[in-house]
Amino acid sequence: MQEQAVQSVANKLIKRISVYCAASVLAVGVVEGWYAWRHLSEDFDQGLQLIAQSQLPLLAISVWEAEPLVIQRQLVQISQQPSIGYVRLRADIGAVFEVGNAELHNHPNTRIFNLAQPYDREISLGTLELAPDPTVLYYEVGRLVGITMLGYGILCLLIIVLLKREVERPLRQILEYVGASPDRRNSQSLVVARGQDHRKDEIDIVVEGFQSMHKEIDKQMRELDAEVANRTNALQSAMESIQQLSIMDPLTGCYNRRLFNERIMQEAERADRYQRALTLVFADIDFFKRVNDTHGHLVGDQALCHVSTIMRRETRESVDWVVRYGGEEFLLVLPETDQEQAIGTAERVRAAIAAEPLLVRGQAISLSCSFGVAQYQPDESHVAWLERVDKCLYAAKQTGRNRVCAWENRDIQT
Amino acid sequence: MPLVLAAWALLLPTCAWSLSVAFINPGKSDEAYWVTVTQAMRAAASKLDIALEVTYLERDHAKAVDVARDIAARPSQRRPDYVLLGNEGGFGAACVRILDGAGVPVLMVFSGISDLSQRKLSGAPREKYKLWLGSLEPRADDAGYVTAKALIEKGRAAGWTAKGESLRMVALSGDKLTPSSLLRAQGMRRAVAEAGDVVLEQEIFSGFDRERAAEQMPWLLRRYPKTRLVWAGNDLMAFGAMDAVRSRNLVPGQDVLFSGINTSSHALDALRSGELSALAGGHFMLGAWALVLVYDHDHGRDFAQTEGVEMVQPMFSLFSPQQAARFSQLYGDGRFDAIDFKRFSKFHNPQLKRYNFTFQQLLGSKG
Repeated sequence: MQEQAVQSVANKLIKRISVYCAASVLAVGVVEGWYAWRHLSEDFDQGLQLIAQSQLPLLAISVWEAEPLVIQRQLVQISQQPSIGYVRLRADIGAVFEVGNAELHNHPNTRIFNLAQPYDREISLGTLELAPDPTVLYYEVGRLVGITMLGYGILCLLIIVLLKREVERPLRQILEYVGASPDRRNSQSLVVARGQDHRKDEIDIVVEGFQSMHKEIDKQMRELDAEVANRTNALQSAMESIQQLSIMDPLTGCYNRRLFNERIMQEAERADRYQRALTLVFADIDFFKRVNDTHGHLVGDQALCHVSTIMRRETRESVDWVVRYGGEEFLLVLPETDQEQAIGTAERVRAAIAAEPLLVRGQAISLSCSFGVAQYQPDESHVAWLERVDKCLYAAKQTGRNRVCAWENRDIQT
Repeated sequence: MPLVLAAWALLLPTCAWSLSVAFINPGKSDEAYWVTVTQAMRAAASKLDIALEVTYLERDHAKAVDVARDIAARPSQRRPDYVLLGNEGGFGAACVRILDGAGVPVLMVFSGISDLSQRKLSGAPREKYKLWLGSLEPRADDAGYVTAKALIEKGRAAGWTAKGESLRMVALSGDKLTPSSLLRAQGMRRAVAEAGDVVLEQEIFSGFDRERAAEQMPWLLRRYPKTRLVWAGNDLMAFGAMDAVRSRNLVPGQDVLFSGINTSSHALDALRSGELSALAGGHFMLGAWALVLVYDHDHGRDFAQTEGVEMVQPMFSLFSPQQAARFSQLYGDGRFDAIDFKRFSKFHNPQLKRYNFTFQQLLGSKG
């Protein structure tokens, strides 16, 4: 991901501080160690001198008075000083006393003191060699350097903790927010937890910037969504209108001929498949040309609407469908209806039309329709079927109009 | 407290004795000199009808205070009539204070209080502490003086001064604190100063101890290879020094001469064999003499009137090999019963004006 390639500022700072701290500790430790070493070495040397100065007279007396036990005891006492690692006394009479770690006797800081005869300082009674115990020195230097290093370490740790808390954590939260999926980012605002007694800083300003940006974007998104919904609705209704227009006759609200041609095949197939009855009624308004001619085309249109309204009213709303086939011709498709039932329906429609004249400006214009009825015959082409119905309608026209003629198996009866 | 008590003195009813005396012996219960002191005292006590109780401090001088406290804590009828004790380590004054408080008279023996700072606290006898009767000390510098003088004469007799050379001498003293030790060394130095042809190379301190002297002597021999005379503050140090000399293939009494103090049988033998060139002794009798003093005091003869309260009596005698032989014969193994201690008592001898505590008279008395 992209975040992995990005380096965290806080982590970078922490790493740098750690490295610099370690380097400082090392440098200061070396300097401190060197200084402590020198200082303590001098102290050691002075300590040796002091011990020697305080012990030499007593030792000289012990050597002078030939007291080996006392000498040994005094040497043990001297060697118990923490800074002393090895003590050796060479007496004038050849005796050698030593206490402590004999390996230290070649130590470069070994000091040799002369034991003067108590009553005649010109005469030497022997020598006292004091070798420092370097482990004490190492320990002291180690302690001093250790304390310094510990101090630096704690300081470094504190800085790291502060950086983590004050920079790294809030930045990481911001980063997580930025790196999150757009959905999440859009759904929730950036929240960065800071301490309680926290005072506003750059990070807070950045966070606030994010928050206000998020608010702004959120608002715009909402507006955009609303706009899209509006447009979509409009488009939908437009589409529906177009759809409607493509299958409906705009004047009468009946289905148009195109839809009939499309859908009658499906109806016929269904009738075949389920062996259901399907009957077609072909209707034509009688003397429509005369209505047009007498009352004008507008009234003619009203007549078409009037007739189609009655047709739709008198058929089953959800099952039967009414088609304006052309001009003043209508088709009533009656599924689940055999020829006898269809004749009933056609008769009912015919009667209603004949009984309800069209009212135009207070004038009643009587209308009537002729009907042809033919049940679908299995595996019949719809063209043949339509021809049959048309023949029935023709027969109804021929036999006096305002009547219903049904298919009688063979040729149409007049 | 491991006190060695003379139990029989406690078990017998005190009324059977005319007098009861407790002696706090500073030495060790197996140390020849101090055992001899006790033996002489027992002989005297027996002759003088005294119940004697002896407690050894085993050279732990501070213990003297505990012993004094124990005595003071006893019921009065079981307290001794007199307590004899020394001032070894400077604890004498503390004991006197305790016993004076308990009403027990004290006579200091072997060492008194001469140190000025101690003296400030204790005062003189019979002043601050009325029951501190006084002290009896041997004239210790006598011992150092006579032995050193005899040693130097032996050195001269050996012909070591023939070519005008001086005699090289080293001295082994006891310690730097005990008055008797200091006084002996003082006597030794007096003799050296009088001699004129003797160089005292060095005086060291061997704590009256044979082993310590044997350890220290090689140092002196290495430091002073021309050493001819070795003066020692007691017999044991002389024997320790001899051991060291022998280990350098030198013969004591021939190549190097020794002197010592004390009349131990070993010392008397060494004197006779010639290993020791000079020996002085006799102060072991001091305890017995002290019993004579308290005996007389108890019988109304107070030494204060004639001798003073702080007595320093000559007691040391230089022994010749013959006298050494005679001493062994008379008193060998601590047989002092033959001495008639009543002979030295002013109570029994009213004509006696002054006490004579020299040892010479004992060697001569039966001779």
